[in-house]
Amino acid sequence: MARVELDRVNKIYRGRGIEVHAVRDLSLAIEDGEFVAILGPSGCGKTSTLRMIVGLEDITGGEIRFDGRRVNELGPEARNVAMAFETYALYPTFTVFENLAFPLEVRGLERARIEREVREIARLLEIEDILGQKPGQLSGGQQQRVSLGRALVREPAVFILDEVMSHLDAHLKFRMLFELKRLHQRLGRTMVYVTHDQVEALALADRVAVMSNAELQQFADRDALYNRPANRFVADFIGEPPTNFFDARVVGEGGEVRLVVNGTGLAFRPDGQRRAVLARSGAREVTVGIRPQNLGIEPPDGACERIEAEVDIFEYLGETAILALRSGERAFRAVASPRHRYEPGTPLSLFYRPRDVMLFDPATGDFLA
Amino acid sequence: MALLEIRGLCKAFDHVVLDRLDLDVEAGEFFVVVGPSGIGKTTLLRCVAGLETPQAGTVRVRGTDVTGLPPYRRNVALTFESYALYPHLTVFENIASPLRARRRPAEEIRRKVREVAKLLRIEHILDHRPGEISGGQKQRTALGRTLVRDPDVFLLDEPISHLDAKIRHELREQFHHLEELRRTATLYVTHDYAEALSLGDRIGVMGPGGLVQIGTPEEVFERPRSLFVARHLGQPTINLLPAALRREDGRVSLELEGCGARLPLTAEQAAALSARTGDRVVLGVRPHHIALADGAAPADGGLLEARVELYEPLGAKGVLLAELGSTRLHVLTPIDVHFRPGERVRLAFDRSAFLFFCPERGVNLVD
Amino acid sequence: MSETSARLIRILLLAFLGVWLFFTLFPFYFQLITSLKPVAEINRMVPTFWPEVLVPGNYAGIFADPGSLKALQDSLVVALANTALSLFLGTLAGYALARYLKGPVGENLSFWILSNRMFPPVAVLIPMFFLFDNTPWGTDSYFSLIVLYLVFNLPLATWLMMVFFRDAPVELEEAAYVDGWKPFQAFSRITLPLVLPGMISVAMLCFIFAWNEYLFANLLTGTNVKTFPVHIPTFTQGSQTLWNLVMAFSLVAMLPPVVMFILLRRYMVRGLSLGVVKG
Repeated sequence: MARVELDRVNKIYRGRGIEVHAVRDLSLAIEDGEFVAILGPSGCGKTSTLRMIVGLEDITGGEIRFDGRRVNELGPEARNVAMAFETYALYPTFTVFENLAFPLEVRGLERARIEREVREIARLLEIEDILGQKPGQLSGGQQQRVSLGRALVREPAVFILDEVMSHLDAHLKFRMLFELKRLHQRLGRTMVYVTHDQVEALALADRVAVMSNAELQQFADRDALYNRPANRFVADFIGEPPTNFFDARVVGEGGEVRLVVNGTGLAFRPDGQRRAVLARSGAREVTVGIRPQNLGIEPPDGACERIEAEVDIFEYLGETAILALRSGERAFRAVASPRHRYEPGTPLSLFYRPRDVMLFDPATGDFLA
Repeated sequence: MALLEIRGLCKAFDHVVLDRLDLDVEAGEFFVVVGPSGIGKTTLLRCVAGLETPQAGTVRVRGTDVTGLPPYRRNVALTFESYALYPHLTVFENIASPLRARRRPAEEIRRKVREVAKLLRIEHILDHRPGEISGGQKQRTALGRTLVRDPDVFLLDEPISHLDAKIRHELREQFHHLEELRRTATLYVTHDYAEALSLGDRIGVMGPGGLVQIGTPEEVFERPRSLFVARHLGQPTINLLPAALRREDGRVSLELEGCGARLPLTAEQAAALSARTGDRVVLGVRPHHIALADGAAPADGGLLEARVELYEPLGAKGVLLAELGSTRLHVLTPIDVHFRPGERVRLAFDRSAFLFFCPERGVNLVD
Repeated sequence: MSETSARLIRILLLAFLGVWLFFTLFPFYFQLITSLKPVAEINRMVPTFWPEVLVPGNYAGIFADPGSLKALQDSLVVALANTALSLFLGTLAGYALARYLKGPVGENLSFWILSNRMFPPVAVLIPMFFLFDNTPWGTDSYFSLIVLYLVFNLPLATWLMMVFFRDAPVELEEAAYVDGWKPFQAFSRITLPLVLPGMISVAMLCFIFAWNEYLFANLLTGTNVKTFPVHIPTFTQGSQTLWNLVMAFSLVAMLPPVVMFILLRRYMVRGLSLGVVKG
């Protein structure tokens, strides 16, 4: 068990006159027993970060501490971290049992003890019946579990999972998400999960570190990421379908403030708290963000406002439906009930709560309110 | 006569993949085949494209039997799941390939490739090679190579499944807009039920051997003919609860095994099932048809108490894993609620959406 | 790992590299200076490692000698023709093996083809002589050498090309068929460019073998056709070997493969790794 701290960590790759700053001044404190996800698009620096935590990559600047102890100079073997890979990396000529036993044999444990610990892990992951098989005979989900098991069997202080779900199909991925979460609850180990998939990150982690362009954008729990995203990038990256953004002018004053979207008939009315923030900043231009889930065909309970638009596509998705809408030249999306199909061209009123209107600085993209 | 007509198609490798499969795709229709991976969807496409020879059955395109023809003598366009872009050729040459094979004049090739590239927004990468472009751009290039032609049938094999959620979303909308695809018949294959429901004019669910149900997206999702179909569409998977039909005071109700709770049925359900009272059935309830009832809601028999085992916020929704007696249930919740393991919740079932299956044969008993 | 031990390992590695470089480069250096020395200096009992006088005349002598030029020309004809033939036949055979003979049959057949290469050449020396003696061209001809070298180069070319074709995805050919290309067009337009790096590597290997081969060339040819390895012994006159000419001539003879290698190195490395990376 361990508390992992990253203190202004930097990673710079140098070669042939090119310098790539892969991780810039990253500070994170992962509590003992916490499940943290590092989330970001490819090339955001999440893999470099993970490799530095494991010890596969040296740290250009800053410090990584495990339980307060600096580990920058320690190799992976000395840090007591275990890692499960995207590609499973199972030894193909070994049986599942031998794959699981290998990390223990390396440490020179006696036969009976190895046998006992492997069986225990196998029971935990429900793979007891396949211990005699070779990886080639297993399904993707089983291979994934064996790979997790091999990392777990070492009883590491920190457990690192690198894109472990990206090769699984949707049904299996869904099952594994639950299994992994249950596993974490049972083991209470510090876990770091690296992924580009926001659904996985939000489902599993207590807190999510969102990275982009080598920098940490926000490190927070789901509610904060969802309702108070640090900037436009986070608002866009978290949530499915992605947040709608509109560049708007601030028109009117006091309680009559409207955010008029250029080139459309759309105007949003923010709530009092947001109006106050706008008044204080004196901004005339603002980026409005509203999540498709917060635009509905039925008026929600409590205070609400409406906008008018035309249906472009009705996407039936079974449990839900997505409306692609149009106002003037602007396209945006709303989530709807699947019960009624809307034909393209149908005019619609959409309702939203003024407190669901997010405001961003149009120049920097920073969250205003 | 349908534009694409498949009759009695059989194909076996070391085991039977397609067993007497029949399928008609009309002109202008977008038909989606959905099914688990490895079930034979790609084999079906390859048989239509001419890359596999079926052991029996016929494939007709516009009334012409093409079963024995090699791919280059059929006028069908196919996108591969792996994209299969030619790595040594530029994006432009990749898209131009089908036109060059037909020896179209250079001027026409240039014009058509540019048109398609503009449509797919890849004009700026026409000089790049596949190795230098992103996954989404590769996908668009592969699609461009298909759209640049004027084929009798479009065949699309998992064209967007390997892309990020965000790009998938965007491309799904683009498929809705592509009039090129609507001009002729399209056969689209995917394992993603959401893609199928979103895109298909009609969809066919593929099970072992062939298509087990064909219909509009609403028909297939809301009235699955079998457990297999019900289970394959939907995320989280449909809840299946063992139950028995009971009759009390002339009213038919459902007794859930494992917790003993009784659920009243709607009049139509009671009418359709009244002959089976006493029988065991499997109750299917989709996670979005179970709501969380406020403590104050009246218990009219549709409310059941359950214990929270796990809660996962999943994108725009949350998923609750609840224990009801000895069975586990998935419940789809709004995003802004929180649960702790062990907490007790009251669940309200949308009875009108109940599905009843035969436990032995898996068929829908009401349909 | 600590800073000091990392540096120590670096120094050791550099030292090892230095020794290795000396062993591999010294013979070339000695060859070069010998080719530039006058005979008298070569024959000294304590050899000079830094020549006192440089005599470029040795090279002039080589280029003025019709026999030497003819030898180089013969080598070039034999090696190029054999390379072209090996590559052409090997590519087609390799493709057929890769695409149409899968499973145990193809596996065994391809191994059997490769095993031809493992046959000790000396065993077929005499039969070959009689075989070619009975052809209209006789033993002492371009034909005999070009065809004979196929015995060694073709199995290698076939086998390597088969490996390269196996690595080239079938799906690309299928995509080409669907685009409307006929099988041979798909092969030449799509698959062949993909294995081009492999073909270049194969060409280099075949060329080098045919260029340097001595045993068969010495036995079969020598009058009408005389490749350069057979020509080199003629620099020995009585008890005197003209080492300066031998070295100058062999340096000139090294040039074609070396130049070829430098020009094609970029492709060749890619070709070799194409087969290595997979699996």
